[in-house]
Amino acid sequence: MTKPLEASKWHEKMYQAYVEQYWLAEENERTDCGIILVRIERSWGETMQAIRAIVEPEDGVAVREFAEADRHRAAFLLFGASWNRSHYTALRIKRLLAKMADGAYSILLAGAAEQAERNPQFFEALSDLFEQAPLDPNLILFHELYQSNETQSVLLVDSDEEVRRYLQLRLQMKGYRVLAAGDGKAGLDLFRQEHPDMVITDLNLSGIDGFHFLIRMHREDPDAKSKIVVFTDNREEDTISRCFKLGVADYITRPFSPVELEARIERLL
Amino acid sequence: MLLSQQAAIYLIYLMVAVIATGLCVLVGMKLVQSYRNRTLARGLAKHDDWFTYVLANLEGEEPLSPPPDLRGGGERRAVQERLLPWIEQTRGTQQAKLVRLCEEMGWTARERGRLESSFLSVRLDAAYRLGCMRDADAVPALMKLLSGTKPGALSFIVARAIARCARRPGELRDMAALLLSRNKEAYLLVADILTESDLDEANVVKTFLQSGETSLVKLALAVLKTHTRPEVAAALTHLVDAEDKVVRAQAAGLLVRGSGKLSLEQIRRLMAHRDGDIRAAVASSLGALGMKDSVALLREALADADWKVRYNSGKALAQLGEEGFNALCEAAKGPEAEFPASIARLVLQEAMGTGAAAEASIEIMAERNMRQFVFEDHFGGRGRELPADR
Amino acid sequence: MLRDWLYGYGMAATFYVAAVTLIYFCILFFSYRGIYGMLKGETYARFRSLSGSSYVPPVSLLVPAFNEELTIIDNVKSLLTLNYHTYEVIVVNDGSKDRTVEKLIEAFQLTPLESETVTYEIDCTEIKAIYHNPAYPRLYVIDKENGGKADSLNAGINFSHYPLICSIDADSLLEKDALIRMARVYMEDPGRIVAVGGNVRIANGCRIEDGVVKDVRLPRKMWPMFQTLEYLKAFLGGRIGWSHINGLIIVSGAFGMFRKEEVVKVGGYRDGYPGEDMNIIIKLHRYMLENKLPYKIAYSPDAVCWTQAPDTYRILSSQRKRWGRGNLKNMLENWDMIFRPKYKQFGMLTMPYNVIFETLNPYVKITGLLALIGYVAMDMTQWRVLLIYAIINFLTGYLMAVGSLVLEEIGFRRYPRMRDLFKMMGFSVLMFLGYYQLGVLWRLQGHIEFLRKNNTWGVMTRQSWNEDSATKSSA
Repeated sequence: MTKPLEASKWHEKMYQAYVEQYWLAEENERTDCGIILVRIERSWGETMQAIRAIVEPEDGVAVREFAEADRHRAAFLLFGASWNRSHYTALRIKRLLAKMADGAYSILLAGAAEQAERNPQFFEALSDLFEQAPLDPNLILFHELYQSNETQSVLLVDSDEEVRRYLQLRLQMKGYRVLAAGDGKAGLDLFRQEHPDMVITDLNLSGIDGFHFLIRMHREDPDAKSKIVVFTDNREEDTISRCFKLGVADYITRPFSPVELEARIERLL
Repeated sequence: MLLSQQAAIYLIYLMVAVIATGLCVLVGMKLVQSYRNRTLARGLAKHDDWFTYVLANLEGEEPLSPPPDLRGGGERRAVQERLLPWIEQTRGTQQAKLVRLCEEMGWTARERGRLESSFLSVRLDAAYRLGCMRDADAVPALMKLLSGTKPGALSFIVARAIARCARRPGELRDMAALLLSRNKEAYLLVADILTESDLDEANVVKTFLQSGETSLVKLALAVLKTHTRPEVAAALTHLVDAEDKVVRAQAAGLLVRGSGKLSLEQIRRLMAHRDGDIRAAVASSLGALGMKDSVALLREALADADWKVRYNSGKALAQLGEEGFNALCEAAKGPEAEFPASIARLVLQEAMGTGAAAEASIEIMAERNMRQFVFEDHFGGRGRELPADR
Repeated sequence: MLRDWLYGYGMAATFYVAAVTLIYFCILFFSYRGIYGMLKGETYARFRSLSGSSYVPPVSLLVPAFNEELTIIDNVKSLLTLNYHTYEVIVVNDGSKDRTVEKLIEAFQLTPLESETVTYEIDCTEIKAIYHNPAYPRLYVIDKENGGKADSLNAGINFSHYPLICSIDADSLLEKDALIRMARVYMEDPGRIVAVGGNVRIANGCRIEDGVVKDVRLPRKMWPMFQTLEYLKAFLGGRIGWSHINGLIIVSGAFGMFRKEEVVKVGGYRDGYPGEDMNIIIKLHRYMLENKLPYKIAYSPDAVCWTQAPDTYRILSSQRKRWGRGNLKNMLENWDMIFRPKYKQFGMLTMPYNVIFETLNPYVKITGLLALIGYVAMDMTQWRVLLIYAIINFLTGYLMAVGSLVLEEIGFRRYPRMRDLFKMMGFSVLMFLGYYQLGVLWRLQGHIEFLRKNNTWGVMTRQSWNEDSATKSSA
């Protein structure tokens, strides 16, 4: 493992390695890079050994490691690893840590941002956020922590926790600020307070009748500054046309195609 | 006499025994259930991070990896119970990706084996799960299971599974025909089951229109209601004169709504149909579709013998813009107690009364102004009250 | 001589009690398959998705309301959020003396609806006004003069827009999925099914938020607790079995779905007497059988409606007397159907069972007891007979209770805690120390009221859902 002398700080090292790798690769070979940060408070040496066994380089993936034993932290840069593979590797490391480090650890997964080679601040923000994060037995996804204020906001109103969780995850990964509500009342309150750029709502809510929810939002926001997308099981044509009359921007039925859903959401934002 | 007392005592012993067994069974079931719930919750908690991984990576070409160290039946059941609903929720490539994951974990093969079990409940469970996992190879075995299942609730479970697995229209057609031959009237539920399929259900049922079997025809009509096809118009014209009332009405409705290019002559023939329900259905479709050529026809229908036809025709006229509204006002001028006038007055009163709606778009306002204008033109005054008989 | 007769009669009564249980268990046993299908069908049906399917027929919910100002707003709000693609909620105000209509108009900003004309297909008191608000597109409120519950339902039917109607008590809460679960049962055989009954459960003790039962618990008070067990027995034990042989005699007025066409044909609900829910079902049986039409009265045990049980002696006894009156009236009115082969299983099994084991039950039990007491009074050495009589009475009842608890455990498991199970087992025993006897007495009193032509509705008060849950949580 080569360590360039001129960079001293952790995030600077990461940035340097990233830039090196970026310029080394041919233009058409520049691929994704997964970043896994870990902090281990107990039995450092042993655990690191075990982690290395997991992140061993395999076909098409180059691994760079930046460990700081005194600060109990290490970074792994997985060049060429897709988001899928990085996530799975992080998942395995997390399971290992849960067994070996007994709660005294934290782990963060990030993907190199767009044009990270020109942006040293990205790595700095990453390590700062990780530094501030408390010890947490769960795998932290970087985009859950990192939110700039200029991003557009999306309000999710759905009584199904699974769907809410999925959309929240996906939209956060796309960089939106996501607000979630489990029922109509909470949804309406959030709508009033936050004026989100988009509302994704089910028609089948508890607390408020779905149509009435749409009408209330329409009343609060007659110019339709917030785009409203209905995402529901209701496939009845009369319902669909009635929703469009109520100023809905799009109507998506379940079962759904996640790619199509995201495309239709992005088209409106 | 003593015998009956003795018999009563035996009866008591017997009942005590049955009650004791019942109580033991109750407690036993509760214990098993709470154990199951606990393992399920533990399994879900353990693999929660893996689900985050799955949801975050549904997109993209790369296949998903199974959960690391999935141990024992309890954990498998937990993961399965949460993953299968996701297959049901999704469509397209993401669904295929999840199905492939199930295959890789050996679940599909496992359920295929369970399909051969000697317990009906296991077979049904396997059928349901194979359906979720879209296993095309299981269709013949599922069809066998379906033909061996009694009509009723259980057969629909298997049928749904077949609809999800089937890759060829023939399989779907066979399933629908078999199901309807035993559950004659359940065509709406069968139509819903067919929507589970990735195949185009309208193509599958199109041939049923000519089958002559009432239940199959009803199924076809129900499905085509949401999938308009111009090419079936000929078959529909034929069905308007069918024996079954539901078939007649559905076919007429589809005919008017579906093609949208019916000639005035065809509409005239439908409006002269001997079945009042058909005339009524056609009349309201004409209004909903805004077919302005039919004003004269609807005006005539205001004197129909059937109240519902008269009422729907009046309502339809009110929907047909100035021309229609004019005709309605014209009709209202006749003798108050007689047909065309009485119904026209009723509809007029209703139409002029809608002013109560608080919010209205520009179109609605324009529509209302038009109505007021036409109304005043005919009856004078600024009110909404119709003058009494002159 | 008298002694022998008394003894013989007493023993006959004993075996009569045993026979009720036996017949009932036979029905349950023969319908095992049906129960299995019922439960499995529920397990694998995906109600969420089905509820949005355009093939599911639209339903009109009819909510008769008489002096319901305390609960009506919450209940309507909850009814407006059912998991069902197209339905309407029609509240029929039956000339309430309190502010029921005013409260509704205020809460939903309703305005009179003039764009629709009601045709009186069934006789009912004239409708004064219909209220609606386009911002709540599913809600209609009908205001009319007082005419009784049946009359209100008839008015609702006349106004309803959809081919299926569903009657709901204004003091009940539907589970979100209840309607779609019922509709699924209907869709499996829409050609024959003319009515589907739902399962009524007791909400006392449960935590209710926003008109949704959030946390299912057993009632704390004694009266509701007894009724919980009674309802479990009646709905799970009784109706599942009867529905399987198509011999259901009642679909609870609190929650039942009907095909409008047939209800109109039999002339709608009957007025002037309680027991209109049993009456409509008997009329449907009669109409379909007399016209030799294929039909079925189905039951959906998983379509749940939560209701508030009376929690004081006074209200409970008045309710039960009313039921007793209604039952007797219905039996007398349809006397001709009993043991007539023309009326098939309904005339040969359901009606006789109902007359012999429900209507006549108090008489047989009480006279049996009196006979045995008389017998023992003449010869104290024979005290054992009395004991046997008591034990048989107790055991048969307990057996049925255990049977229904097993069904609950197999199929529904609404009460998840082990503690609840033991509580239910225990209270099933306690029921025999008074509650049962009271039940017999109330029915008898109901019959007496009927004969004295007392036809009032009796006392009935409501408590608001909020108050209920608030006091429960602070308790």
